[in-house]
Amino acid sequence: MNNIKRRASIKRRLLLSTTLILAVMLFAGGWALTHLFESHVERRVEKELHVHLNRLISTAHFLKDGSVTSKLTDMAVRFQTPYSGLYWQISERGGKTLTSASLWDAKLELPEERINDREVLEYKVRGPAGRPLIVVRRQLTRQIAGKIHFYEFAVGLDHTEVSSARKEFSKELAIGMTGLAVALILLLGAQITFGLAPLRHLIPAVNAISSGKAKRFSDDYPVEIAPLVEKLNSLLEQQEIVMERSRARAASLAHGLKTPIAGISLEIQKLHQTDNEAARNIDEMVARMNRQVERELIRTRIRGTTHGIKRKNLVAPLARDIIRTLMRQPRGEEITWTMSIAEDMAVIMDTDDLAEILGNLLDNARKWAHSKVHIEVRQHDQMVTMIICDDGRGLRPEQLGQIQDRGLRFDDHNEGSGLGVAIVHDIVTGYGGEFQAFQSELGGLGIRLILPSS
Amino acid sequence: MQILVVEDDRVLIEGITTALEQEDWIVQQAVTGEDAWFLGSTGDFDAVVLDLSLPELDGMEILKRWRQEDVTTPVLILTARSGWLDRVNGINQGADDYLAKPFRMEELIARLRAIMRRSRGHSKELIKCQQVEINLLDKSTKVNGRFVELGPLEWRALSHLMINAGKAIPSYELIDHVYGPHSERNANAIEALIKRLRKKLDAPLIHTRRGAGYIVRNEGDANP
Repeated sequence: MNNIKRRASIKRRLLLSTTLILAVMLFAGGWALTHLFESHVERRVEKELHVHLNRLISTAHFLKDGSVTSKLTDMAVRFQTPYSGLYWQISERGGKTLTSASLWDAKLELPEERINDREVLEYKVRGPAGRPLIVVRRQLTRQIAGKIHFYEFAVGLDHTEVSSARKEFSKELAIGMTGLAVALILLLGAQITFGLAPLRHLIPAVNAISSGKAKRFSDDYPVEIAPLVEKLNSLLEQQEIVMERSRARAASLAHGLKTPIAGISLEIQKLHQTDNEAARNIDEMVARMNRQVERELIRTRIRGTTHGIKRKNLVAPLARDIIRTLMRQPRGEEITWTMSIAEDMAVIMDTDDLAEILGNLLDNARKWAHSKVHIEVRQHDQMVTMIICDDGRGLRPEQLGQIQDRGLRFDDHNEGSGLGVAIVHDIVTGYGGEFQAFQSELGGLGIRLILPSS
Repeated sequence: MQILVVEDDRVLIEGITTALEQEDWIVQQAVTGEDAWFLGSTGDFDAVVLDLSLPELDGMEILKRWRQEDVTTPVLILTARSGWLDRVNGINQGADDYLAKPFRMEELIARLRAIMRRSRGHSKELIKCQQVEINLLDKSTKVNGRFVELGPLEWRALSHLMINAGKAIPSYELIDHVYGPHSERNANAIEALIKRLRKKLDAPLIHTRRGAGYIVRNEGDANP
């Protein structure tokens, strides 16, 4: 099996990308909101300053000597509190400058600029203790006692109030945004999990197919995955057809070869009557050819977990049928066949494979038994144990481990190709089972198979 | 004994026929499924060697039809299909034995003998009627414990009569079993053969039942 480099999961990718997008969007949104908030607050402040400015102008009292006083101090406490952050200033060009008590001994340093009456200008300047101020300024021209006087009215507010409001807003917004982000990520995670569930269901479906429990994917998939599942099913079908054709061709070829081999074999048997060495050599080659053909036929017959149609097979009736078949073979009737299998004992595997297991092992026992062959099948936990033993002469301990070797025969006097036990070994291990050879209690060879029952 | 060999491979069928004829058995050949079905349904055979992969009609289908038609002739399936499920299916369909190709001729003959013996209900190759005993394996004949030499035609006639002891065998059936189904011989030839046989056996074993044929009676059988 190829080692596939596992890339980051789709869920992780989606979550990561979504988190990034969310972070960027929430940050931009937060920045925009803060900016809007600040602008809004500044506008409010400016409006308020305009109100104060208008009140400052409206409460201004111009004296005959051109000096000016204001009653605004009576109305706003903050204007009277030193460095309260809210200030006003009235200055006469070339004359005195009147300031709110809040400015204490400081003045609003405004740029020298000629402005028109009724024109209101806004500034951001440094105020007392170098603190930033928002200032609104307006000029007023008055003719008093025949003389033109220029007055400048200004009201300022400490900008740090706006900044702290922005900071507080940003802080609260950040908490809100983080909460929102976490909630959104959690919801997205749940959405992705829910959305990817059909993809996750593909894994057990693929496992079921590879283990032979299912032949196709079900058609219960969402429209986005359904075309992929259809393609996969179509691919499986094509693969099955190709496999079946190949098996059929191999089986057909092998069957086709067996008849001419049988013909050649008969001709050689005639030559044997003249004790011809060439005939013996050809006979040996034909036997090898036959073993090769038989091996290929077996390969086409063994269905295994991948290609076999696994169904519940009752062991007892099949074992009985095979014993009935074997009783018609040489010495079959002379042997006492005993079975210890519950009638409802079943194994889940391909019927052909089960028949090959039982047939080959019972036939092997028939060939070697003196008079008894016993088969026992029992279930424990999730496994089925099948034991077939005979009362023949058995094998030496060092031969027991080699019994499954393909084509190996420990005695040439008996019939057979030496493939039977190897076939059983291949089938059993193909199903994830175990194969053990041992000295049976009957005295001969015992074969114990442990097969998964499902 | 008359054997039907059904096989579509020419070399194989000739090889089998030659080997079976060496056993002094009468062999009929069929190379197609339809021919095999017809011959098996209408002929009188002691055994059939049946290939499964046949043109026109599959061997398994032929066997099924024979058994449905109550043809009880023992059948040995000889086939390239060597899977155990194929063998079990063959036996379940009514075959008496199953031999996979390639095979040794001695094994085929031994299996044929075994299925014929089983079908006759004899447990051994020895058949004894009154003082006459025949051995189907070495084709020997003893009368009162003494060996009697018989020619191939005489052996065929005697073995067929003794295998079917208690049953009247008509002349035409004996002709088939002794000379083969395509023989031009008539009842006179059989009569002459039986006369020779009676003389060699020198025992009152073979009786003529008028209008029915020849019969060998077991001890204790009622008079024909």
